[in-house]
Amino acid sequence: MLLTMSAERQEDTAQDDVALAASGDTRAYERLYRTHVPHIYALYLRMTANRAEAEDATQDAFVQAWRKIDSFRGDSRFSSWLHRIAVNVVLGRMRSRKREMERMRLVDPETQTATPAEHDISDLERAIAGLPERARQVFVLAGVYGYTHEQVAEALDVAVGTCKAHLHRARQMLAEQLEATT
Amino acid sequence: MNDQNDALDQALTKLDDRIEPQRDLWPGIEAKISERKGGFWQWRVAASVFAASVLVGLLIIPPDDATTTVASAVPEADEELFRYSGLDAEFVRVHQRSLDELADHLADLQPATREVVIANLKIIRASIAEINEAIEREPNNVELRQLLRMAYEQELAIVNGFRRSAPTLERTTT
Repeated sequence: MLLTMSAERQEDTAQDDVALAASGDTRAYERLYRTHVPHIYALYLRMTANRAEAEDATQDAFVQAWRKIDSFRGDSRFSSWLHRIAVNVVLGRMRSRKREMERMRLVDPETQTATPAEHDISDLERAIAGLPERARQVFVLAGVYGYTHEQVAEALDVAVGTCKAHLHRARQMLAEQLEATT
Repeated sequence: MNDQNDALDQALTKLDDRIEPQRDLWPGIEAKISERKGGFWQWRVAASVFAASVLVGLLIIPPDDATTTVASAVPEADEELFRYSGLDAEFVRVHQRSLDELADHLADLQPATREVVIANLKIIRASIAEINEAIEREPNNVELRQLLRMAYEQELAIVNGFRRSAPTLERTTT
């Protein structure tokens, strides 16, 4: 009961801060940032496997959310709304980066070995970071954060079947990797 | 394979959904949203002042300089002023031609009309100069560039609008 009330109070505080932020209060928005940044950064670190890119994308997501905060109607939790913006931001950045690399005729990021994230990570985190980019995106969104195949397919602009194939491939690679490290 | 999957699912449950960035990202975010907020309000204020000044100019500004010569009253479409607007060369050419025509035939307008035209062109040109200065301070401010384009389009609209008041102009352009 105590925990429930605490969660409700937290949500009320968040709603107050959202309203204040929507009116231009940057201090309120900073409180929202402090609360939610570990979740967004974790998502980004797993999606990008690159600390610098995860930091840049995190800043980008919170700037985008600030610009759109007027449109938050409270129909869903603020964290869910922010997460959706964050996913769109990181996928947009990754698409831009891929286009840029293709334009410059550099290596295909799909086949490029990802740089393991530079933090104290478990074997699983390291294995996720080592997945091919598209397989990693699908696995993180569907396998870690619970998005449906339909949602992931739409976000990545791929067929649902392709999404399922990537997830299967990613799980296979991760399972083998984990077995090899134990 | 099932054992492998079980091990993977087991490991997934232990993943932490919170990872703190190694550095504080807030200062960078705050700088961007403050800049954005400032830019937004500057745009709103500038747009309001601009719209109000045009309206006031059209309605109540009296002739402010009776000695202004007609030929020097119409500003030239200085190409340098267009540098931030993103307007295409065709617009710049039409704009310059319209100003040239107005300058050539301003004397044909009724005195009161002429003074209103001159006053409004001065107001708009002052707005354009201010917006250009603001863009130099905030080169990536998209709203300012939109405002600049609006100002040029407004200037052209006023010039073209008053062309209808000058029979000579009508004759020369049709």
